[in-house]
Amino acid sequence: MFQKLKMASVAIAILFFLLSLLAVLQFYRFQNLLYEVNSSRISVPAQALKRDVERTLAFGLSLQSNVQLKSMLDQVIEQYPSILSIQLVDTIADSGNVMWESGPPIADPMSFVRAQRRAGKPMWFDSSRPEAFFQSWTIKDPIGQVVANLTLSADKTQVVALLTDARAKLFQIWLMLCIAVLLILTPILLYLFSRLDRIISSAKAILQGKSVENKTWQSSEICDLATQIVASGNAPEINKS
Amino acid sequence: MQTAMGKSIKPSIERLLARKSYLTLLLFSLCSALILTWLTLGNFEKILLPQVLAKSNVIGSSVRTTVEDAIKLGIPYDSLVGMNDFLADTLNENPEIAYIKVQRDGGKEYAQSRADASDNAPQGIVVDQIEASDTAPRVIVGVRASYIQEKLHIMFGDAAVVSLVALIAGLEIALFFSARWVLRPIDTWRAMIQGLQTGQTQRDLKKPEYGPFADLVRISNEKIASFRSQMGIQHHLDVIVHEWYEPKARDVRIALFLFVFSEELLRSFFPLYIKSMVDATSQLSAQLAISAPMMAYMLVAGVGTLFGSGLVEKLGLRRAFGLSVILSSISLIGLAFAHSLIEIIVWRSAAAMGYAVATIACQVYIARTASSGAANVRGLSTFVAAVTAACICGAPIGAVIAEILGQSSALLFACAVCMLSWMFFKGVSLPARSQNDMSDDETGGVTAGFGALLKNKNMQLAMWCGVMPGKLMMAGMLFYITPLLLQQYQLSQASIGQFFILYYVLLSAGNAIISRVDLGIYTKIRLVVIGGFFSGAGALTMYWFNTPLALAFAIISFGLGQSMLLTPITAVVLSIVKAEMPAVEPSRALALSRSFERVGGIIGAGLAAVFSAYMGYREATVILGGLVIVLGLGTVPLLWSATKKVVKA
Repeated sequence: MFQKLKMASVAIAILFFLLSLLAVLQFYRFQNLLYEVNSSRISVPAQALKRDVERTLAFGLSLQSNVQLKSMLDQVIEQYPSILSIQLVDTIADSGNVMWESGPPIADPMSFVRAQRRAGKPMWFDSSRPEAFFQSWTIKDPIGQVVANLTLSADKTQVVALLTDARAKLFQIWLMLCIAVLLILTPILLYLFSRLDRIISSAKAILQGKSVENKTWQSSEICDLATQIVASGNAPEINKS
Repeated sequence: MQTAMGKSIKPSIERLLARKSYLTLLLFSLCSALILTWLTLGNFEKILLPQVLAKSNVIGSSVRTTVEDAIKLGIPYDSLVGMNDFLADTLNENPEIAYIKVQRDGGKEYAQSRADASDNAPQGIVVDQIEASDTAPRVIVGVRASYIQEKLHIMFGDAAVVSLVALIAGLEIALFFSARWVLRPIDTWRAMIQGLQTGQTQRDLKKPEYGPFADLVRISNEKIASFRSQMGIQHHLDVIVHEWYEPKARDVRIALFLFVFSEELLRSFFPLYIKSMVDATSQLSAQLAISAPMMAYMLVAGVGTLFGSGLVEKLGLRRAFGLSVILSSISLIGLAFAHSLIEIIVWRSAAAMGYAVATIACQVYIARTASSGAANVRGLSTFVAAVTAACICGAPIGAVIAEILGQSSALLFACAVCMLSWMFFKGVSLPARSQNDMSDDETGGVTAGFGALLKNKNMQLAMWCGVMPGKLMMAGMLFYITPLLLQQYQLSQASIGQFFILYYVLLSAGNAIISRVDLGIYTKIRLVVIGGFFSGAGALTMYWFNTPLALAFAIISFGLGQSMLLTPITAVVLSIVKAEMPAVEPSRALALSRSFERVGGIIGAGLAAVFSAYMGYREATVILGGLVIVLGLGTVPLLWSATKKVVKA
């Protein structure tokens, strides 16, 4: 019985492993998809703002002295409540000087500039921080040189709540499936293994010289081998060794 | 099932039982995976749809603000120039939107919609409307409900890939337990019966057997002992050195799988890990910095394969594998705590040496367990299957671990897996060395035999035209160009993984089929020639079609070609050694083959980089394909040489 249980538990453990791996990987795929949708939602006002800021540069206005920019940032924060703060950072000579900002200040603005440079793309999105989403955009002057960085932080609490909910539901489904597998598969496997048990018992009986019902081991390789062992014991070849 | 007479008989009750058990497990695995996927995707859809609608609301607001700003500047609503272009751009940037309309009571309507008629069917559109106020117009955004389904279809594809990964990992574990509890005790028992029938009873049961058959083995062993005492047979103690169980290639499979798996766990996040390190410390460009540890790895692995063979012979299988586990574990710990590019290069080089020695140790183990040519091919296909399974499972599982625990912790996890491989290798019974092996050891140095191998014309052909092109194509097309091309086609990271799986699935399926067929050497060479052609032929379609489908075809063709070639080419190499250089040890030929694989990898990556830089990824793929076909045709003389031998015989 112990052997049968051991074999069945290994088979069921493998199935649980399969389900767990599938559930975990699916959750991370879903999380990425949710982040992707949120990133694209933040990019809508961010891109419009970027266009507006670059337009002021095209008009020949300086970013440092253009006070209009502050109200532009404030307007975005006002219009889109999910955007928490916006910063316009001077990146010339890596000064990291915050030229204009709206909302609570974002800590270490140059870290986003560096991360964006590493990515080598005009937009960089960071979903890894627990407090908020961060999106960073390069601001180019009319000759195409990067002169500033526009960093936005957006509310993450709703997404975190959605993820927690999704995780809980996924766990529930996983648990239900595991219980179902356990309840259905265990008796099937025990039944299959009990048949193997009967064969092994027959083979043991043959080895121990006991009589066995012919029907039990008619097409069994194991019983056949056991018979061969018994027959070999009486064979003359044994004397050779 | 066939008898020795070739007569077909009913399969035994045990085989039927095994088949039923496997089918039950497979059925449950597939059904439960399918149910889990179906239920979770339904749940995800419910969460995602409001998020997409929230985005459409933001788009509507943004459009309204832009129009309002223009009106505030004094431009009359009905004379907004460029409005259609603006809406068309908005539509292009947001694939989930079916149409967008800007309306004002009594004024002009500006509207843009997608060309696809089915998208405009009202039943598939979720409408979001932002009402007009003061000067601001009304904006109506139609969101395609099918957008979420498209995304979820991709997730369903991912789930299929993940199920495959989980099934393969599960299968490796199941195979380990089958071998431990069923196959090994039965083989031991069979050996006992054979021993009794032939009178060769001077063997012993050194290790206890486990599983349901353990009792039978124990009883039989007692019976043999009683036969011995009954007959008055006394073996000298030095004669009873062999176990009843003769080691098989499958014994080392789990250790090899875990070792390669620990290495493959890094594949998905390692470039990002280097990138994050480089930025803080190095002045090198990111591309160069990422490629430097990889090139160092390939180089050391190539050189290590040459010397690794000698090391394996000198240290013995167990100690050689132990050494490689130590090297790899230390390098993984070092990588987890590395602070500079130099440190990464040093640790990766150490890991490469460990990998080279471990794979050679496993190949030598498998070669020593083979009792015949067919068994050798089966054994080598076990090697390829274990490595392929580890390759399929490593990257996705590594990505998740890195996501959950962080990259450094994932490296430490890989180290733990690597050490676990040693626990399994430690437990295997080592195959006895043949007399031939012993005599070779006395005369051979660390690199002895390589000169003779390299001087042999047929060996050169097998290496340059059989072994190397596959790895050239793999590093060049699959590892270098495929991700870049797919990124160019704007496909997701997940799709890149799916394209890779195409190759590995074909490889393992083909390998499984070929290993089950006992082929003559002539057929094997023919397979090598055909496989070489297929490896490159698919890439030529990229000349006419620059599409993901053409790339998929190229990868499928490559996978098919390699599945035909990979197992036979090793058998061909070993047969050349046996027939033309009997003094050279087969392990040397295997080591040389591994080195040529590394050379192929380095050349492939280099050529892909050069051709891509000057001509583009598509053209580079076509050139690599052509090159592989030309190189593959170089194996044709092997076929002629085999034909001549057959005619002579």
